[in-house]
Amino acid sequence: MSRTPNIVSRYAKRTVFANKGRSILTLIGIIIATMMFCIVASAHQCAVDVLQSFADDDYGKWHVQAYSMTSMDYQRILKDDRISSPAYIQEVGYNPGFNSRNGAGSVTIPYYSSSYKYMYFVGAMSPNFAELCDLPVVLGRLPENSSEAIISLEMYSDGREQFTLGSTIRLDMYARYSEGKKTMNLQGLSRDKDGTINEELFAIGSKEYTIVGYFAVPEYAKWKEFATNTVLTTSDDLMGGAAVNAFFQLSDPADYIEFTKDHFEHEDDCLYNKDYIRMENSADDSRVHLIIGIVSGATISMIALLAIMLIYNSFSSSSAERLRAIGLLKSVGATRRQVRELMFTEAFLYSIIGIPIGILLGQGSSYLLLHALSDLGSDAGNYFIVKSIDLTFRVGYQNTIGTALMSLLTIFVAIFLPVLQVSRVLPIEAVRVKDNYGRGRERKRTHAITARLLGFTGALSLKNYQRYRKRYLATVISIMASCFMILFANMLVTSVTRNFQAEEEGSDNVISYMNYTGDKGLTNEDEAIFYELQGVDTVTSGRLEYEIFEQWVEIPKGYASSETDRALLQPKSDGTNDFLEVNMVFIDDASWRDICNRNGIDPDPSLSYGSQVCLINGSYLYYDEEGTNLGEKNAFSSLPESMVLHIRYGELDSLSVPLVPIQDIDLSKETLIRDSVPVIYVPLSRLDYYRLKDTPGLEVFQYMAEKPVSAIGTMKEILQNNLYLTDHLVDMGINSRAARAVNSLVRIIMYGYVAMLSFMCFLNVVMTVISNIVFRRKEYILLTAVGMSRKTLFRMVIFESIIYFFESIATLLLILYASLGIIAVSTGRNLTGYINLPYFAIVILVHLLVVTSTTAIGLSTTMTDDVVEGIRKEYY
Amino acid sequence: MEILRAEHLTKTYGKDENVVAALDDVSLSIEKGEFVAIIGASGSGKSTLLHMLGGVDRPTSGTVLVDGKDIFKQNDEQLSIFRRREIGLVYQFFNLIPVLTVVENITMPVLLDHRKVNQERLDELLGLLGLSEKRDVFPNQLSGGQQQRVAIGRALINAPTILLADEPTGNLDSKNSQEVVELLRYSNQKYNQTTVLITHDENVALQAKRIITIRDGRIEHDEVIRK
Ligand SMILES: Nc1ncnc2c1ncn2[C@@H]1O[C@H](COP(=O)(O)OP(=O)(O)O)[C@@H](O)[C@H]1O
Ligand SMILES: [Mg+2]
Repeated sequence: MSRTPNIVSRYAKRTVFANKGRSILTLIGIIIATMMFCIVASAHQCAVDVLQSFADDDYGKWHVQAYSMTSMDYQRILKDDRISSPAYIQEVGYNPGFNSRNGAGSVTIPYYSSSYKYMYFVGAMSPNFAELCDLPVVLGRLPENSSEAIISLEMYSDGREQFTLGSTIRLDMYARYSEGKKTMNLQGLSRDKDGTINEELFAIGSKEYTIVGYFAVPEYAKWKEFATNTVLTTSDDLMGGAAVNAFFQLSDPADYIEFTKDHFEHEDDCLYNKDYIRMENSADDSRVHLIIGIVSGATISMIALLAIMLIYNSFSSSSAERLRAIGLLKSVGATRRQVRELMFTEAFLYSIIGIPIGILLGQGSSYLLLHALSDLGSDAGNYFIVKSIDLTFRVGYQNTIGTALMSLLTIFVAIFLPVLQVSRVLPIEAVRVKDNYGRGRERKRTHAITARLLGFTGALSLKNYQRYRKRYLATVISIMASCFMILFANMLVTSVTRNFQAEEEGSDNVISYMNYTGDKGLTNEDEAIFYELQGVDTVTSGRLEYEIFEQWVEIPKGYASSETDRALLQPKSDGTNDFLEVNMVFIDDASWRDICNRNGIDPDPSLSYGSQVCLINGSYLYYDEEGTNLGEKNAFSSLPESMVLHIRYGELDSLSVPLVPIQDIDLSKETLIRDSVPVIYVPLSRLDYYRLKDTPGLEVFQYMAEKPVSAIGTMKEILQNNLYLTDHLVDMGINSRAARAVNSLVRIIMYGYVAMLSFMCFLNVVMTVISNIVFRRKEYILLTAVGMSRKTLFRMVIFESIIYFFESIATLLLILYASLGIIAVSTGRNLTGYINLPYFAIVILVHLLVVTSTTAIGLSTTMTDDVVEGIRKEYY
Repeated sequence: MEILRAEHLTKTYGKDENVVAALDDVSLSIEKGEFVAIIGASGSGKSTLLHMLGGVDRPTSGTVLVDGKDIFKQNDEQLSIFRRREIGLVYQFFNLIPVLTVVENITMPVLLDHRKVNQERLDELLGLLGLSEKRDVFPNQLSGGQQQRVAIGRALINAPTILLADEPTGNLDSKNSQEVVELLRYSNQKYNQTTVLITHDENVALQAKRIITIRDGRIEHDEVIRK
């Protein structure tokens, strides 16, 4: 043996193993704390990841964007070495979309509406554009050369033009000029001050593209960057002359303002990707991270606080018990440093066992939790945003190291005071006859009345309690803290979960499919798809609706009585009747019959000319002059006996059909698709009769399914050969299910957190209670030696525990209500309502139970030895 | 040769009217190799004196010189090192660390000093103490006499300048007491070990070479009874 054995660390090790009860409690505390640190760290990591992925997905990875710049300017700016990655879309030309429904077949450039620009923009992407700007390719792929193009998903269903995958489109291209200058105003058409359009188009030839894919218009591009009707091709080189829409990623995002100032005259010329910059945590506004940080910090602090209490109690009671031993150690020549080393070694032992186990458990449970989370939902993700959260578990080394450091810090903060106390122990302590604690300075006399009231044991307990008051302080504080923490955590949970209760109701089982048909209208093929999807497993019912917009109903003159009613009507030119704009909704025959039967209407199976159809009141949201919402009301309080329907679309210019209104039924309850325009419901078999089959419209399939998720999966498989349609398939229950998923998740997590905290609180209580017993073991042994029966001893000790228990509760109540009182006086807010009294009572009772039973169990395990053996052991 | 010298040692406890002088202006000198017994009534200040001599507690006033060096001029760290190298202490009660074995308890001062244990000396000591068979036994498995012998072993392992024993036999029966005293005498003779022993027991005291009697914190008698 060449090295001298380290006697200090050996002593430390033996102490840890000798005091199994306390060591295990301490270790469990450290393990749980570490585990929870780890879970919180993982959750934090996950939250940040999710945020980051939102940022990436929705906003791309660029920082500054400049539009309508010349290619020369662009090349000049590229020389700036602050740019880490540039990308651009260069204008190729515009196509007015003559065939587009949005363009309404007009040859002149149509008006600019709030939702669409009725013009195709053709742009050439730089090769890295899709990556830098995170262009979401929904179907197909990116173009590989300048004869291929990817188009926005919206372009498929714009009503007239059909751009199918693999088809070739030929676009007549134009350049836009305004006041003799070329323009690339993607937001709209150039106008004069008075609003008149001053743009002109110049033909620049035509181009042919093969459609290779569809992209969803990215969040950041909805308005400014490019129009929804966008055709993107690719080019390797910048073309001279054509305008450029540039995107810059900077090496240091904090430079974004400087960068802009250096290159552009007006800040307006540029657009910042603020959300992304914020997510990168480099902009000033990093509130989201701050909030996440605060939540994680608060969670961690509570755990750390409890862990510190637990470890502190463990170490301080262990050093109090070893006061003599440490005195002896010092009198045989241990230095302060060596005594400190003793404590540090013990802490190190706990750390080296507890922290790795804690981290393993923590990462295991984080994994399981996240797994459960992502199982419960991609659904749960939908609660917060429209898309699912991709929760990934990462065993990051930062996370692991961070957790370990946090635990170490907790442990070392906790042992700081005990170490200080121990290192100050004088060698003379080894021979002090009396204990350090409970050196009763003033003799308390027990009143005769108390003595009679409590009996001999009771009086003795009271005396003991008074004598060891200082010693019991740790226990009293532990019980108080425990009750308080559990109460507080419960309050937190109640307030958090309350917010997640709202959205539980909903159309859980509804799947809907919506699609604008093109020129072909509602085809037999579409109908066939409807019935095919209805046959999917667990689908219980389905309804097909085909909605054709902007039809007119002729209403007898003077019908509308109220001002609002009248405002909806259009006078007929000859002054005889009024017109009302309505949408026609054709419903598949089975559903039609169903609705009629339910409302006691003759479904009129013959459906011949002149038979009944329903005119349904459209409902409107009414507002008063101040803008307060007065709620939903039917547009008409009554309807005329008969009306004439004018068919606007289709082969017939105008077909007059007499209508019989049915006022009493409220079909709005029958359907989820509502519109603010009054709706006429018609059986689907009439579509042909009205010759509306080829009229473009909105086809809606709506299904009820027992298992919507698997049903929608099957449906998507069925629609595989019609892939872009799958994008229109919507799980309507996703929100309510997500809300429930989130709700239960929040509960699981919050209650799990409370349970863990409570567990640590109880550990603490148990630890201090047991320490008290161990500390006074010698005294108890002596008491039995001089003839006190075990029963009396037990009664005495338990009585003591009840006394200090009530002291803690009384103090807690005092502090609690005093602080509530202070809050009430100073802020005028009464918070007493937040205290759930029955729960409070239960918490207190459980604590009482824990304290007394721990006392009893602790006492019976320490008092098993016979008296002689006990005394013997006490000395060594 | 003078090895230990105490000058005007005073130790008081308490404050104001409650002041107790446990030690009142005590001066003494001890030669190397002396075997001194300190006797006196309970509460007379024997233990207090011993603690001062061993650097375990600091006096209210006065000095203690060991090998001519004022021990209380040292800081806490130096005093600790002084104690483990120069002083061997034996108390009446609670002398051993319960979770350490006999050998570990004995070698503690050496190990605290980060030095290697002289195995020969250890084996010799264990033989002398009659503990060769009990090397790896824990204190609670030993009899009171054996425990006290372990404490003596620990006090002797470093061949300290002075061995101080505070009523080491107070807790033992006469047979065990005699064994312990024999041991102290033997080490005094064999290693020329300076030894100061506090005792109640006249018979024990009479085996020393010099007896100092303390009363009310003062030296009442100081006589050499044998050379
Ligand atoms: N820590 C202390 N605090 C107060 N008084 C003490 C303390 N230690 C000793 N004394 C008092 O000092 C006097 C001497 O004690 P001590 O040296 O232990 O006597 P001895 O060892 O001779 O029995 C006694 O009166 C005792 O009460
Ligand atoms: Mg004494």
